[in-house]
Amino acid sequence: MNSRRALLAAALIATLPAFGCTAISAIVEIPSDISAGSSRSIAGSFDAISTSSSSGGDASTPNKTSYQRDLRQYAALFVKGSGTSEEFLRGVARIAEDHGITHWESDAMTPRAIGQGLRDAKLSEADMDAFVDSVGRDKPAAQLALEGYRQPGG
Amino acid sequence: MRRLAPAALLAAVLGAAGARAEGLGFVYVSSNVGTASGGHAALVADGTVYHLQSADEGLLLLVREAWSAFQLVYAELENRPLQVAVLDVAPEVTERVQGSFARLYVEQELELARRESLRQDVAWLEAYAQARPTPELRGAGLVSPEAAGDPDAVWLRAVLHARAGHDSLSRVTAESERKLAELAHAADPTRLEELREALSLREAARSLDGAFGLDPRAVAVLPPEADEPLTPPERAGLEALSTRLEHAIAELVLSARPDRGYALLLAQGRYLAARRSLAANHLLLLDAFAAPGRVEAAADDVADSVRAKRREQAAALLRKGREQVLAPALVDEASFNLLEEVASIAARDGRADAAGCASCRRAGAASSQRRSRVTWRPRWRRHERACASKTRGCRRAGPTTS
Repeated sequence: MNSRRALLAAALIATLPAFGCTAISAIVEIPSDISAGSSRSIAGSFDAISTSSSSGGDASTPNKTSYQRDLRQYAALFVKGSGTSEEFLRGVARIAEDHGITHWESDAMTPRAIGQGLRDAKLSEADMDAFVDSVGRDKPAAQLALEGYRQPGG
Repeated sequence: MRRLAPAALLAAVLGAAGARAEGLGFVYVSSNVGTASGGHAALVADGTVYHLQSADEGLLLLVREAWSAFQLVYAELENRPLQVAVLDVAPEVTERVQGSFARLYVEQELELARRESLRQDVAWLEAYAQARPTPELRGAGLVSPEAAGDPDAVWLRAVLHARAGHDSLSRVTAESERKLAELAHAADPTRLEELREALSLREAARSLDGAFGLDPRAVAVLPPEADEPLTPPERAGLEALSTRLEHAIAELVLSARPDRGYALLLAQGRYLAARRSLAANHLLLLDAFAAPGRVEAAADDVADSVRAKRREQAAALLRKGREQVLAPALVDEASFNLLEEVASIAARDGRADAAGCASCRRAGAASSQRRSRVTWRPRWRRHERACASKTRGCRRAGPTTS
């Protein structure tokens, strides 16, 4: 419990330098409203799907963006710790399942996010090269992971 | 039974709310009579809310949900005004915050998954020790051996043979049997998750090879107001989804993932539901929450007119979901998952019924209520947890020597 709180606090503290002299720009009050808004907010969520998925085959819906972020964080965490590849893949499957994705192997976002996570974990270029070689440099997944590593903001 | 909130569905589409949820902000939820006299606080980042909630067994959990879900529960269902202090920061800062909280959340969820797996281990060990049937296997109840030879399933098997090879399913069966034999030989009680995975894989191969049809109890029975015929774009969307699922199932069969049994069962269930929808020209979606013999308790005591209104709202939501998720030629699996959840809600008494009592969310509620607390648990993950109470989608595996 305390460690969880400490982690949360650490996460907040980690963001403080970025806030710096940031001012609160607005206080927005949202009144309670029993009678209205539920359908609107639900409909709004579907609008988000519509907007996001209209751009084509590899479109990033909000849920997919969240999947990518989670996986990236997981990969960064995992590489700093210890664990078997089976454990790693089980974690990937668990995160994918959390986002409603069953066949995560076919999702280009999976290796790309892992590559981004490896970058976040400060894996060196040499280590990343070794990683790509171990996966099989010619494999699309390896290339996507490399792409994620080289373009972590992408 | 755990009650489900439509709000919970919305976290699947994070960032769905309006301008108030964009950027970074601190949220204060006004106090409530009784259990939340100090109010509640949260952080919102680009439509995703992170906050802490008391859970069962004294755990303080980091909860992540969509702004719209958060607003629905606290402002609308609990009638508590929200105040958001919006911070003037660059988008990169917001992303950093999201990353930090996502890391904490992922760590927490994986720990919870590990705990759940250990609970399952205990249940299986107890079953073995007491010579009882083992707990049900998740996903296996989506299809039924009684419906073997289903025409759509026969077609799927033919597609599999063509794409993955005629012996592909027998190879999967052999793989699972080898694993089961290895586990039986090892007799290692710490490898029960591997055992469940191997059993799931064997069940998946068996159901594909036997062309098991959809179990009728696995389907969400939609209320008449939500059960309109398919439109041409929806038909096109379902056709596209079927084709994608055929590819996915063939790839999963050939995959080396040891845990792919459940994914195969789910994909098979979705495929059969899509084909059946096209044949009937009415939408059939898998219901994650139905269970044989389960009595749906009403969440609250309201007039029939109110229930009717709720059903209307649920139907409207489902129509909207159908339009937005199914109509595009490329149906995103995660969004389709959301539609299944909405259908499961609509199959019951409507939005507010499914939301359950809002006070269940309050810290300090009775323990059983806290267990009902609504946090977003994606459908199949929730389904997995629900297997302990024998919900639909779970079925016992065949006998094993382990």
